[in-house]
Amino acid sequence: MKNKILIIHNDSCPSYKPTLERIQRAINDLNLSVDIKSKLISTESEANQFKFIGSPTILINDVQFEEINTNIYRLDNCRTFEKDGGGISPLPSQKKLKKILSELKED
Amino acid sequence: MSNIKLNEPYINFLLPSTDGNDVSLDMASLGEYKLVIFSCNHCPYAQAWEDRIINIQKKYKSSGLSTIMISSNDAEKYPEDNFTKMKERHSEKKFNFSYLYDETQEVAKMYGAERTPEVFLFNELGLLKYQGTIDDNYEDESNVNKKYLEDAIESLIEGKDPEISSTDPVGCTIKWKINLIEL
Repeated sequence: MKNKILIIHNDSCPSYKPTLERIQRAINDLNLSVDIKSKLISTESEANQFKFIGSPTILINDVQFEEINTNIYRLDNCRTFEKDGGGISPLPSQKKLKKILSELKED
Repeated sequence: MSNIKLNEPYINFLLPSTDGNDVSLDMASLGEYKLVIFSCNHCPYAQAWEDRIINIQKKYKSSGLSTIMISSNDAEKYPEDNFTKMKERHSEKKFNFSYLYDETQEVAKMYGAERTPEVFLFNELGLLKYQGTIDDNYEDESNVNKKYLEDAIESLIEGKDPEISSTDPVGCTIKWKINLIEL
């Protein structure tokens, strides 16, 4: 089965594009073959349907990157990620993305 | 887009502060240069810049800078931004400036603020001299190339207008309340 990444995002947080760039950089560095899909959430109803915890929500083979356990789904929320060395960031850590993607098994 | 144009005067307000007082921009106790920042508790962008805001106020207090941070978010939808949580945040981060609650969102609307954080810097005459973002790297302070806000403050202190007077604010959108109109 081919590895897949789904990035769920809204159009109000500025984090989507830099997150996509980080994912692409990690994939290129690791020379992986991964299907990347993105889903723009435009309504509260979609936010609920996709269990959207904030932009961007990253699912790697259906597993949430840096899982946040919540049942609050809000269309215009920007999500947080852990920063290397402590603190939080609106963007996923490049290092952590690379580490998790490096653990994917290829066909 | 900002409702206050460059070189236009600030719009006064009176809002409750997390320290228990009501704060107005007209208060004589405020310094020469007034920095109004729309921010909030929950937004990762707002959080990313919080320490830098604290440091800017610390650095320029003696030069007459007074920072006022305002949260206008809908606290029903974002309970992390309610007044109680704001007080907790103030205490936890030891803010060296007032943190005000704009429950009706009127101040954000008057200013035309759209993002958190979004800054409005006024000179000694109360005229808008800079509006927008704080610097060009929310994620990594050590990799900031353009300190827009600090450069603008330095210009005011030197009696000049900032070279860059406006930038696009970067951050979360202000969470507006639903305007329900009964027909």
